[in-house]
Amino acid sequence: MRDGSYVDTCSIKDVSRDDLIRLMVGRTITNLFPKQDVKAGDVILKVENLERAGSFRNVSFELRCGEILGMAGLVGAGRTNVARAIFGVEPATAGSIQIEGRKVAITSPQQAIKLGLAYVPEDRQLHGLIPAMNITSNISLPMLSKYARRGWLQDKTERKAAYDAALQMEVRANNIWQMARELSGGNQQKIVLSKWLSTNPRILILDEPTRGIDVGTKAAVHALMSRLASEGMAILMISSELPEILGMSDRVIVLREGHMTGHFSRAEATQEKIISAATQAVTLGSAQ
Amino acid sequence: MQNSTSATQSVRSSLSNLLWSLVRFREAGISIFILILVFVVTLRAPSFLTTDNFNDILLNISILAIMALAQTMVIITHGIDLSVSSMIGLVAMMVAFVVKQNPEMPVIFAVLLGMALGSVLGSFNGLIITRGNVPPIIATLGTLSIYRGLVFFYSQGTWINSFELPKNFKMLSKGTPLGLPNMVIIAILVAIVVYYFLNHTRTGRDIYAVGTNPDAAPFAGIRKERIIFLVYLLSGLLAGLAAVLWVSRFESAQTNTAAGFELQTVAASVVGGVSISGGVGTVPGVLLGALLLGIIQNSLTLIRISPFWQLAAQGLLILIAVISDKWILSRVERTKK
Repeated sequence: MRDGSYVDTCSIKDVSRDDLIRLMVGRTITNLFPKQDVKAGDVILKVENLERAGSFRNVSFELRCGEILGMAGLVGAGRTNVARAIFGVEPATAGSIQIEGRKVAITSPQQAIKLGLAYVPEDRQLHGLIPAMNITSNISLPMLSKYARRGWLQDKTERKAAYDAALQMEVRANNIWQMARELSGGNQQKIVLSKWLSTNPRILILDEPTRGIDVGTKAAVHALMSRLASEGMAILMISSELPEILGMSDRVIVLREGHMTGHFSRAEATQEKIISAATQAVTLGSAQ
Repeated sequence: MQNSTSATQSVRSSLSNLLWSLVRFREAGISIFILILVFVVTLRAPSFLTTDNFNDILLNISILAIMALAQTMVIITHGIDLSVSSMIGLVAMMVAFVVKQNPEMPVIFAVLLGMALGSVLGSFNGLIITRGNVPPIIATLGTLSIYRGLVFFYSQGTWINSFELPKNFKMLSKGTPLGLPNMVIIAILVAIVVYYFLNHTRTGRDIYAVGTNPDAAPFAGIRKERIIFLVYLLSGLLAGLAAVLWVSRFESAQTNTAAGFELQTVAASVVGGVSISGGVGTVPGVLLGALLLGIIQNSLTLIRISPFWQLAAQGLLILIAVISDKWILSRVERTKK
C-alpha cells in the first residue's frame, strides 16, 4: 500500500528489494543515498577537546558549511551526549566550541537556537515532539518569539508559517490542527524537521534522523539533507546505520566509549574501518 | 478484504473522534449537567431560579473562580499548589491589620499590597520547587502549614472584626457601580486576562508545553524552571488578590480564614476538565467547574440538606470527574488500536 491506496500484490520470491522499494515509494530510487557533491565552505563549527564528565572527553572536530559530517559508533558511545552538549541540553564541562571563529559557551538550548543551531533528537516521542499538541504548536514551539509581538502570539503568522513548513515537507495529515501523536512515525519526523528548519538554522544536528520511519520518508529525509547541504547548511548526522553513514557523509568521525577513535574522509571510509574504530575496545578487552 | 478493513477503520475512527470531542468539549458536558441540576432544584425549591439567588451564587463563587484559575495554571504544568488557602489566610490577616491602622488609605493600595505579599509567598513556593527540586505536592504541603503558622504568629491569635475595617474597604467587594458586584467583575476580568495569557501569549503556550511533555520542552528551548516558578508566583499573586476580596466580603480576618479552601480550588479545576497529569485545561471549563460547585452548595442549602452532605457531594463530584476522564481516555486509546 502507498499513501492510503492499494498498489500491487506480488509473491515474495518474485520481488526484489529494488522492486519493493519502487512500489512503496512510487518511483525508482536509482541511488538510495542521493548525496550530491558539494564543495565545502568555511568552517562554521569548531569543537576542541570537548568534555562532559562521565560521558565523553577530548572530542574535537570541524564542521564546514555545505558539509555532512557523519558521527558513527556503537549505541552508548557518547554520540548523543556530544550532540546534547553542543546544543546546550547537557552543557559541556570542559573544552571549547567556536562558531564562525567566535568562541561561545553554550549553556542552554535557547542560546544554541539563537546561535543558529538546531537539534533533531533521537527519540521524537520523548524529546522531539509534544505528542499531545497539534502540528501548528509543535512546529512553532522553538521560534514562538518570532510569532509573538510583545509576548502576544500572532495566530495568522504562526498558522501560515506552520502550514508552509508542513507543506514543504509533504507532511501527510488531515489538517494542521491534528495532534502530533496521531501521525505515523515518518510524518512525526517530518514535523520535527519542519519545526527545526523553520528556525532557519545554519548548523543542523540530526540524531538518528531515519530511525523507525518508512522507506519513502527515509529517502525523502536523505534527499532533504543533501539539498540542505548543497544550499550551504552544515549538518552533523549521528547514525547507527552504516549504509547511511557511508552514503550520506562527506567525512566520518567515530566515537567509542566517549573517545574519538576514527576520522575518515568519504573516500577513505569503509564499513570495516568504521566498525573496527567503533569496537576496538571490545577486541582489546577480549585479548587481555 | 481491503474495503472491509478500511470500513472498520473509518467506523473506529469516527467513534474515536466522537469520544475525543467529548473530551475536548468538556464544557458542553458540564453545561448540560448544570442545566439538569438547575431544573431539578427549581422543581424542589422555586426560589432557586431568581435573580437574587443567582447574584448570590456569583458572589459566592467569585473568589473560588479566581483561585481555581490560579490552580489551573499550576496543574497544567503537572504541579499542584496546596498552600493557596494559607496564602489567602496570611495575606488576609496582614492586609486587614494594615487597613485597620490606616483607614484613610486608598483601597487600591490594599489590593496592590495584597498582590505583592501574595507574590512573595508564591515565589517562595516556586523557589522550593525549582531550586530545591522538591515535588510540588510536598513543597506546598509544607508551606500550607508554614504560612498558616505565620498567621497565628503575626496576629498573636487575635481577629480583625467588621467594625475595625473602614466602610470603603468593605464596599470593595460588594459595591455595584457597574451593575454587578465589583467582586464578580474582578473575577470576570481575571478570567479574561488568564484566558488571553494561556491561549495567546508565548508564555501561555510554554506552560502547556511544559505540562504536556516536560522532557521535550527544554529541547525546544523552553526555560522549564522559569515557567514552573512563574505559575507558583502567579498562584501567590492571585491568592493575594483573593485575600483582599475575602477580607472585604466577609468583613473580618481570622486565624482560620480560607482554611480548607485549597481543596475547593482543586475540585473546581478538575471538575472543569483540567487533567491532573498536566497539559490539559481551559478557562471556560474551569469557570463552569466553579459555577457547578457554587450551584451545588447553594441548592443543597435551599433544599435543606445538611452542610455535611455538601462536602460529600463535592467529593463525589471530583471522583466522578476524574474517573470519567480516565474512562474516556482509555476508551480513546483502545479505539485507536
